[in-house]
Amino acid sequence: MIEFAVKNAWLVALLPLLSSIVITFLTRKSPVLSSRISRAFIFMALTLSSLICYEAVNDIDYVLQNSAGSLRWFTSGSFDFALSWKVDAVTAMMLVVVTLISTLVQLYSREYMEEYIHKGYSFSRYYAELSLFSFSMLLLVLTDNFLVLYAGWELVGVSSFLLIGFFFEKKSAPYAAKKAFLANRVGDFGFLLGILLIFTYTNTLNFDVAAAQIAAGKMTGGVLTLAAILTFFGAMGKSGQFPLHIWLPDAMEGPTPVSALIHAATMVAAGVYMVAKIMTIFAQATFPVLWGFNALDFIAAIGGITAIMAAFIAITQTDIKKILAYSTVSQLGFMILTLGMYSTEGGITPLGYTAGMFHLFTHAFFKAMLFLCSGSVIHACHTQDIFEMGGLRKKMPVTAITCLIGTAAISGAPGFAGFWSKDAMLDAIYEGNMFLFALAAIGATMTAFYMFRLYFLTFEGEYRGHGHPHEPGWRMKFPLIFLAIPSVLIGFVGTPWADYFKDFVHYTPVVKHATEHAAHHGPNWIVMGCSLAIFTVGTGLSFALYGKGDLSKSEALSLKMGGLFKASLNKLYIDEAYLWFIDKFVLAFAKASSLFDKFVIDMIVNVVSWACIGVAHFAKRMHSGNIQQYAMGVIVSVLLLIFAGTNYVYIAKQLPIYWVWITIGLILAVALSVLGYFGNLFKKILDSK
Amino acid sequence: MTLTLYHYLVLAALLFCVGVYGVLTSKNAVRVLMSLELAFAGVSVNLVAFSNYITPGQLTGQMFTIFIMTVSAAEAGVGLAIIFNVFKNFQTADMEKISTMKW
Repeated sequence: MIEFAVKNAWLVALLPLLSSIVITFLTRKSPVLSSRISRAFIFMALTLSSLICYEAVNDIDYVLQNSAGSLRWFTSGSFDFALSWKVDAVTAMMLVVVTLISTLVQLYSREYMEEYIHKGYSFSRYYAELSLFSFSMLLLVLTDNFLVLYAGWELVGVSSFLLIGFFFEKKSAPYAAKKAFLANRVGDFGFLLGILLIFTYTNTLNFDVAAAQIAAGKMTGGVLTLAAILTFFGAMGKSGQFPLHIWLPDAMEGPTPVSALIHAATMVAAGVYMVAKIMTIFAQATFPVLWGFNALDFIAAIGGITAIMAAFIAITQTDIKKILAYSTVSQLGFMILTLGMYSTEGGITPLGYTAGMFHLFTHAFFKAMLFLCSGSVIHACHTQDIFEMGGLRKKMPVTAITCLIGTAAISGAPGFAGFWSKDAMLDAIYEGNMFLFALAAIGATMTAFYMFRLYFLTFEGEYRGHGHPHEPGWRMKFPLIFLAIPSVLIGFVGTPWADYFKDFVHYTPVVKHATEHAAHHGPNWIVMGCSLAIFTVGTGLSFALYGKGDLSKSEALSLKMGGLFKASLNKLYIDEAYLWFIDKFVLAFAKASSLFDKFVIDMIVNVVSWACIGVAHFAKRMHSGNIQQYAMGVIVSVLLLIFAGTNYVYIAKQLPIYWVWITIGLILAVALSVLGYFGNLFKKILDSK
Repeated sequence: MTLTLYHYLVLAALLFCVGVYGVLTSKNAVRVLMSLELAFAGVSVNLVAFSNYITPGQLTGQMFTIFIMTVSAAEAGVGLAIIFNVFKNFQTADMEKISTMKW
């Protein structure tokens, strides 16, 4: 069974695709059947992924050798484009994460989406789109060549678009979907340019072969850094890094289970995953761009800016899903920041790589759980505003406890999953750059603060709303409880004393050669102390302001922050800045292009057509109906035919410039025609008879 | 002065050209037919001249001319019939006015 799973790893991606196709074409009219088919197939994919991951943990070499496969897609010139896949350690981990969270989300949706069915939204469409997303994400994860990666990348973008815009009759949902897709597209454009650059120099699309070529020197210096930064643009778009993060908060227009799956655990992780997978390319891109920055520094900087900016905005938000969305952006920023700390120089272990992937792994679990908790709360209270909630701990105990576990995990409570992964990240950043370490520490403190703010205002105190909140059914409770377990325990695979995760991930060929020369790293007590301090300070501040679960002290926040409060509440005016830029520059350029198109390009086509019409006006005169003119034509033609073969014509043809006369004649004809058309020359001639 | 072949050819050419000129520029349809007969005459002179100077014993050119005269008579009759019908339809025999054979 395990052997079957490993040898047919492609089946994991194909199963959700099959369910999507079956639902779209066969079971559209029966929503419950669609739901069952979708859940069954994704569960099968989950079992296969678990078997593959189990084998990968036990015997990674077996998996590396046997899971690879390739299908020739098409050939162009001398290059074969193939659909190829391979499972390595990081892939195996991602397979389990994606399929597990997809399964739980699909189960959860069965109950959560039920109330929307009666409003006319189609269950079948929902499940078809969810399955399509699972297929795309698994395709992205399984592949080891750029072309299929890009295809999967775009497909997850499409699925995300479809799912965000699921409630298409709401005014704001299609706009949000469009915004998401456009922001993604901007990133994807850079990504494509990066891929093309890499392909041009290394003549291959396979990650490992390209990495080997680059190590052999095919791409160096500025070009490599440019390619790395362009490729990173894709991650910026997909994972919501600083300039292109604008779509993630708006993506909360989609149903909450979709937010849990796509915008917390999987799709946004694709960017981080991609950076990790092609890490060798980034690591070698050491050409200093500006003031000594290289590609990895750029990545770390963007990650750091994102982390702190999103945390800052999250502090003042009141929509539960927006808080979680900004939290996701911030955590992704942390992951990217950590990945930027990878360095093979000076004998430093590439801690950044393992820490980033570890946080990706743990974050998927507790963030998905937090989103599902928020969904449970939204389902119960029919509102998304935390100022209208409160006191839900008594009414929804299971949700409250799981949410508390998730909040503790994300804030870095000691012992929970988030603590170990955040500690690993801070350790890596501490080794790298002290300024970024300070930034990360402040960001982590803010994370603890706003997450506990969310918890206190939602679950503590007295209920401020008007509904009748109650605990949801088993389909919604089971995923919450199931995910609570890894949120607490999974961190223990990656403690600094027994870092099983690092050893597992190190088998990825990327990192193996670097770690063979590096020293073993025990726990860094300074960093661990910082982690504890961060948690204590953040949680303490939050408890001081919101501990009672009421809004009495919430004014204190706005007073203390002053002008910053307004900036944070308005999302740092980034959307407004984008709109201003579009207004001033993009629309002006678009207008100029449109004028160019109308008056230059269309004119060329029009002139050709006018020339034809002009010539026709000339030629029209041959059809006068005058019989004697026709007879004249006959006689002239006969004369021409008689004299065509004579010496006079032969001599004329010998002259080298006869074609000049012909060309001049043609141009004159066209010019006269055009002018005539414009100047109504012919009108006068024809009408006067 | 001795008459050679060329003299007769020039005469034929002249007659032919005058006939063609008449065909192309006459306003009256009947006049066109008359000019056409003139052209036939020119062609006939040409044929007889060649027959006499190139192959003196045979009467090929003269036979050809007899045929031309016969056919031209028949064709003149047909042409006049056509003009008759045109006159019936257009109430005029003016060549410039019967120009409806166009787009």
